Amino acid sequence: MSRIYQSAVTVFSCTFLLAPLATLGDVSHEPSIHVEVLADGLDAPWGLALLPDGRMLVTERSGGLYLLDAQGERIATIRNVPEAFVKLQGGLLDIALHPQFDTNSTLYLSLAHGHQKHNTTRVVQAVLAGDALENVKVIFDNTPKGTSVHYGGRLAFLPDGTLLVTTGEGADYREHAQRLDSLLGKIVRIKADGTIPADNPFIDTPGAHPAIWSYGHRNPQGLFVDAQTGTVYATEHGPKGGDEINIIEKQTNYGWPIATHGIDYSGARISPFETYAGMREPLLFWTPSIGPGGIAMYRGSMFPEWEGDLLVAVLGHKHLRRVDLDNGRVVDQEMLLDDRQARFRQVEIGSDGSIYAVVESVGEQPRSGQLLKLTRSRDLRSASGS
Amino acid sequence: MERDRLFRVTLAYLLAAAAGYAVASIFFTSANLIRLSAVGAEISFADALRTFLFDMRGMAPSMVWTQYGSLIFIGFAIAFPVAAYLRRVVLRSTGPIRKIAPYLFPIAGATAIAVILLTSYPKYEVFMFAGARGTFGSLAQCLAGALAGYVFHLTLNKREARS
Repeated sequence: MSRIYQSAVTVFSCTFLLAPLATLGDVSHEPSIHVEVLADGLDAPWGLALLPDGRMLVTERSGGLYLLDAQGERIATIRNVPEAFVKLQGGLLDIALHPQFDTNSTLYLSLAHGHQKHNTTRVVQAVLAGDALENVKVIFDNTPKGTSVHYGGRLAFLPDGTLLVTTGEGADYREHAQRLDSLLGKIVRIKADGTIPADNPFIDTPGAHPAIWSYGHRNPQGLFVDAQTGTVYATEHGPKGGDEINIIEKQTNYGWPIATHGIDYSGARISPFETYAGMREPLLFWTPSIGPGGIAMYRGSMFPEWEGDLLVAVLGHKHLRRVDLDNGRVVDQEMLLDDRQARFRQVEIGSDGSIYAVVESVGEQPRSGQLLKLTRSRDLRSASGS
Repeated sequence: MERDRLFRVTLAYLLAAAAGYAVASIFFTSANLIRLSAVGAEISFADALRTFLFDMRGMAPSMVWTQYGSLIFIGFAIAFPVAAYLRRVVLRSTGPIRKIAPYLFPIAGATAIAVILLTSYPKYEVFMFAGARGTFGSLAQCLAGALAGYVFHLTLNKREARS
């Protein structure tokens, strides 16, 4: 892999989009951002894990798992990665580190598994030993489906050490999102070893799968747990309109496909209802769709003016989006890096407050995935007195 | 004379395609609403009516050729002339094959819808038209196509149909 350092200082014009639930707010403290391409030439990168020692692990949907140093140099191609079903939206998906990774080197991968007629969103646990995975163990498989789209596949640990996994509804199976006997279209909660926690909300519900944490999801491809508050945020692709950010709470029904702000690609309604009694409204929705991928809440000292804001990787509209939250309410939105033609897949916050963004591809070019590092521009940082 | 014939055939085609699209749209919406009801949605008559009308308009033929309504009109525009040619060939014959003549337009209409559904499937390998999901959903759409073919057959006068 070639490594390119491109330094570019981008002063962002105050380009704000009014979303249906947002109002225009204060835009006078925009930081200037230094964008560094840590790695490029990646083949549809999907997940990113920042290791405690500064190294990074990045997944490619085509099945590759790479260990990079802090500067983005590829140290190793990880061996013994479980084979994924790579087709359309399927493949190797997310990666998450065990909360005690620094002592047990344990990590988790999500991937599409199976074949066209019978495939699942699978989660495996493994130990990173040098440049290989050891003790690879399947800890979760969702309900099989016969489509190779809408896998969900994001992973995030809750503060109690349990693991949340998002699953898509498989498109043709959209009504499964409302069925408690199916794991399609859910966020599930499992223990780090794959067993089901005894305090899961549907553990005693007859006919319900005990792993379900929340339901009524379409294709949630972003998931973030705010360690400071324990709040869980998830993004979800809508159809034509109706992309969402949801605050995830246990036992909650998020509506799909009975309640949605989107309509079908055919121009028909998904449902007569945009809202429905007993189903949770999103924190924010986008119509027309923008194609939201990963999500993270900014917590760090590098961009103090963004503290507590959400950053959303946007695939369809090709930008990184800042959602300004004030007391849990959306007050503003801003498009970042919208001049790069980059399909943003995932976003992570480094321990020093820098922002790592995974770009699935630039334009439609194959093998054009990138790993970007966003830091505050030195000049303007000193100018702003920070 | 020739102009009159062209006018009658065009009118028959438009009437048949419109009827076929309307029925296909109603079947489409019904299939979706039935599936939603099965997972707990309580849908009133007013909700359903609103959805039928929205879908009828939302999928209607337009300048966008990939729209379901556009595809239906295009599909019939190809299928009915082919059926008319086959009908002429069949009616010229003297064997028992003549008996299939009345069914050729309905078969052509159903085939047109089947081809639309089959050719729209491969890109993402999902049903692009969700109301056609499953065997019954697809068969209902094909039935709408057959109905359109029957309307075309009825609308053309006997002389036209045999010519």
